[in-house]
Amino acid sequence: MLDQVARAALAAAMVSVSSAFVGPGVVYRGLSFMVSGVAHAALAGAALAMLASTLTPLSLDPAVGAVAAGIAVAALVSWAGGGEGRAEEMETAVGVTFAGAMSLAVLTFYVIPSERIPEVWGYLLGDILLLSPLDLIVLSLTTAACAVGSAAFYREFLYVTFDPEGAEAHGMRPRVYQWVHLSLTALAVAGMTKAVGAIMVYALVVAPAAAAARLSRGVKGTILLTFALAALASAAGMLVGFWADVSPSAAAGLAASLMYVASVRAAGGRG
Amino acid sequence: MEGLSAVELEGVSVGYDSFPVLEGVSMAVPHPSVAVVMGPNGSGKTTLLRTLLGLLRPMEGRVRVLGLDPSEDRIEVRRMVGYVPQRESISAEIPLRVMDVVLMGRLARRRPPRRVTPEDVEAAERALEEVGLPDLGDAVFNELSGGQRQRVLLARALASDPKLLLLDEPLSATDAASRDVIAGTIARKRGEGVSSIIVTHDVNPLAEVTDYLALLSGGRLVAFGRVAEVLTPPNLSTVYGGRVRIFREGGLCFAIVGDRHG
Ligand SMILES: Nc1ncnc2c1ncn2[C@@H]1O[C@H](COP(=O)(O)OP(=O)(O)OP(=O)(O)O)[C@@H](O)[C@H]1O
Ligand SMILES: [Mg+2]
Repeated sequence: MLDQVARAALAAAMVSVSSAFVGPGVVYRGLSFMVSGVAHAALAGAALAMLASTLTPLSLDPAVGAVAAGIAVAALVSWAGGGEGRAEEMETAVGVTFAGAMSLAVLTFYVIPSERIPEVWGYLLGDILLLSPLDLIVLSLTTAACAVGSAAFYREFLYVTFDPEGAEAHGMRPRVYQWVHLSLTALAVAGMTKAVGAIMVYALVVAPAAAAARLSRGVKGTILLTFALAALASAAGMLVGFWADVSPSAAAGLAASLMYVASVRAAGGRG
Repeated sequence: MEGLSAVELEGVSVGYDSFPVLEGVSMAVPHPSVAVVMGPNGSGKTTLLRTLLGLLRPMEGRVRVLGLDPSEDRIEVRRMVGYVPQRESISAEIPLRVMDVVLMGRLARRRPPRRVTPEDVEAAERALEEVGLPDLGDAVFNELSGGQRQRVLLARALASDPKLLLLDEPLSATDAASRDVIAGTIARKRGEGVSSIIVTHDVNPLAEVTDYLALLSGGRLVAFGRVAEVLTPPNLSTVYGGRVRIFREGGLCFAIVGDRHG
């Protein structure tokens, strides 16, 4: 039991780190819906991995399928946005992915063994208490990749988000950095989907970042505050989850959403 | 550098997806000098600047920027050019510090890791002083006024000591004070051997600093030359229809154009 709690706490900490690096980026880009798109694609990827394991001698872990699907979405969205990173076209690509991924997931249900279907739905609702060791490893790797990549290319990501044309005119390659940025984003989101659930990922990634963007000036302040709010929401979710015996992810998602509402009130008309 | 042109175009056609936007444009701007590009919305002004930067490759014709071909010698050209993009292309969401915006002019030119050195900071501070905003380094860019933002973007373009400035509507959303600073900076830079190509809908604030004027209409160059030669009623009515009036005062020409934006 204690072991389970420790694992869940570790997962929550990593989810919060991922949120801090992913959330502000998608909020600044006007691409927050991509978080939901990737999470649902991760679900479809998990289902496809089970399908492959059913139909072929391969034995693919669903977590691997989830991450691969996330990366594919990043490539698609990045391609749709072109060099200037046009947010409207990216959002359309995200919406299509979202619907397409869910359709695909439902279709796999006709082939994969019925006892595995709840595992797919696990990606929708998440369960931070039921993570396998491999899930934890995947989450650690995606979190580390996102954190290291975001730190290494901090200025590059800022500059191509701020002014892709100016960045290119001054000698940078915005397409490449945009693709790397979106891939790291997708990697992190896919990694946390099983812990948090595709439905709640949006609340845990976007709500803290949107609240932090309202409450702090500067980019670094926003990243730190996003981490603090995501960690607070996760901790609250786990406590309420244990105490009331309800889904910790749902409680955390609700807590994060409430924080966003509070930030809108606190910041008044600003932002 | 006697005889070198800041920019030189010969029969240049460019477009997007092989659909031409500029056709048969030829002009040569001596170095150092200040040239203004005017024309209605959609006439191809931004496309012209993108071609000079090597962001678009001409379908026909020859382009030279300070003697180099911008689509072949991209890196060298971009090293010598400072660019201020049109306002619309800049994100208003991301709360970058002014100092980081100005540093972008230097860091974007390097390879990763793009570390900030003390020289970078000094150069950025000097650039901010040049545009009259010495104390604004710690301010947040998107909390500034429109005129202050344009001046910060000009500082970004200046931060790497360019030989040529390409400015896309640097006067949009500026008040009289900011216009004076921008015009003054362009004139001072010309004195230091830096040319400027400026896209604008309003030549008047730049009347005193403008050497050459190019008029674009529907992707064609209607006229290019000294301001007084180009700013004539027939030229202006070709470009803007009948909605333009011209005033001459001293040696300067002013035009009142009906269709303006920004
Ligand atoms: N990325 C693009 N892809 C396709 N067509 C484009 C693109 N950018 C511009 N165009 C087209 O090229 C033409 C010229 O555009 P350009 O931006 O150069 O005009 P402009 O003179 O700068 O106008 P404005 O005063 O509105 O800034 C327009 O018809 C426009 O629709
Ligand atoms: Mg333009």
